[in-house]
Amino acid sequence: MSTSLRSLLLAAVLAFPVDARGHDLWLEPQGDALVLRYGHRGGDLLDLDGSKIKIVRCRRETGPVTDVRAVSKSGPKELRTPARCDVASAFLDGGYWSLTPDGEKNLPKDKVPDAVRSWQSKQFAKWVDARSKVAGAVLGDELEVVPASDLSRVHQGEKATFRVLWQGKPVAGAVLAVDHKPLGETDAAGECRVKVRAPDVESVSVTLKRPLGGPEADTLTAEASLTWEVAR
Amino acid sequence: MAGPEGPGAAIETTSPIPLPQGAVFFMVKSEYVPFRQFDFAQPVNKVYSLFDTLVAGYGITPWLSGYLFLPYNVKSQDGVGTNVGLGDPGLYVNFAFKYDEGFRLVPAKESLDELMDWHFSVFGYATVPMGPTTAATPALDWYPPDMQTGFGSLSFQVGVAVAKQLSADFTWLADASYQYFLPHTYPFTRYQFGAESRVNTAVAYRAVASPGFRLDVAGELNLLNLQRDQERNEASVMEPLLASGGTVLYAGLGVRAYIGRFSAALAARTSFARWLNEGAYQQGSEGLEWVRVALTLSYVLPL
Repeated sequence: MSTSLRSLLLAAVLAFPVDARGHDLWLEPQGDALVLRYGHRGGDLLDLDGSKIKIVRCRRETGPVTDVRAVSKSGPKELRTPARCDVASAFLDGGYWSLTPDGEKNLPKDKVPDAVRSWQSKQFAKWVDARSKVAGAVLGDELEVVPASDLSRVHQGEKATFRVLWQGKPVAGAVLAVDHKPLGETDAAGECRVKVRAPDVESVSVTLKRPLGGPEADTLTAEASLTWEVAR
Repeated sequence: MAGPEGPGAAIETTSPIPLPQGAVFFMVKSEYVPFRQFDFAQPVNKVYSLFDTLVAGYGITPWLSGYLFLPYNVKSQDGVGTNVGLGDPGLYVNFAFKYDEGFRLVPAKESLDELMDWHFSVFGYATVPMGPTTAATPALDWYPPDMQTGFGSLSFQVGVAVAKQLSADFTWLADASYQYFLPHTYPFTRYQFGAESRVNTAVAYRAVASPGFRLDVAGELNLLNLQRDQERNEASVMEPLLASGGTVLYAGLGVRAYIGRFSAALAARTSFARWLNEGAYQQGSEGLEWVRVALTLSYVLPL
């Protein structure tokens, strides 16, 4: 049976654009602080509006998940939180966006008379200490990437499995990407398995779209990233 | 934006990649085989065969696919006639697994990274003798067994296949199989087709990739070994036949285009080496074709 239509099916799915804007939001430790940045990892940083960062969650090996946003300090291109966490995440509420003939506006559809389409943007960034016992902990973000493999044993060039949760439940059909290259879709268990490419710090991201159909936006576009230090 | 990615497929060489679970697959394949003409075979040179096949497949699980084959054959011989009729329908089952930190069944969804793993399959194929075996020539003689469109008895094939995507653009595939035919008693003789062993290998190259479209070029080598046919002799003993059997090595080139869920492939192959048992007398045998040209059209429908 000389056919390879399984790959064709996958390819048909992956041929669609995942994130037209292609900007990363990622969280990583720096000394005794967690730093949230926006832009292109390993490249240019973009301005980060600290007022849009609503939650910074922190989980240590022991103890509950706490919101440490109140102690964060906002700079032009970063949000710095003095906290040592084994697992941490940040939520950026991008608000409502409308596309008009003159370009994108950060306003809901009902405030933009000539809106062609509109969406609500939510971005989540997560960091895990791969060696921590709680590296696989769920923090409770609306969209969250959870390592299903022991990342402390996964080296560059090896594969790891990730589970994607939407509102706490595994979600099928979410597209997982590394460096903006879509690599696969989550299955019914919300899992997708991809290869670690970076030698030092790696980040995988996932995008999920949901219809809203309300007066403010047509769709919800949620993005989440997971960043960790690759085993050496 | 990149075009469709994932492993490529060849034309003759079997791919171990299974159908997605719940997917329904349809294919039409037509292979035209004109034979070389020889003086010794005059005036009854075999002219051509045309093998048409309808295929329907279903992804039973992510790692198990089943296919139904319905052949329709045309066999033409100078001075004898052209026999047209159904072949023997067949059931093909493909059990797929892969190597990813150990052997495991192919999962429901694979990322592009997983598609680059080593993929394997064990497959089985059985034909049911439903095609006619008593077709008569215009002169009201029976066509000989190799000119009938049905085999007359069960046949069984088992094989293994392997594929490895070497890079984004190159995929290597190989398979090996063995097919055995049970004997059949015709009104005019008792006959058993010789068992067939095949070893195929191919490299598929993704030549064009744009959104919704992909074009692969595949080069193949196909090794075919045919054991001698056997026929009942005057002493009612099955006897290996002269002028049958041998080994043939084909080289082929094909193109396959993917447009959405539709795929079309065109390929040609020819024997460039042959070790036939009595080649000088085997006109109409594998290895003595001018060329084998195959066209396939397929469509997959996910449920």
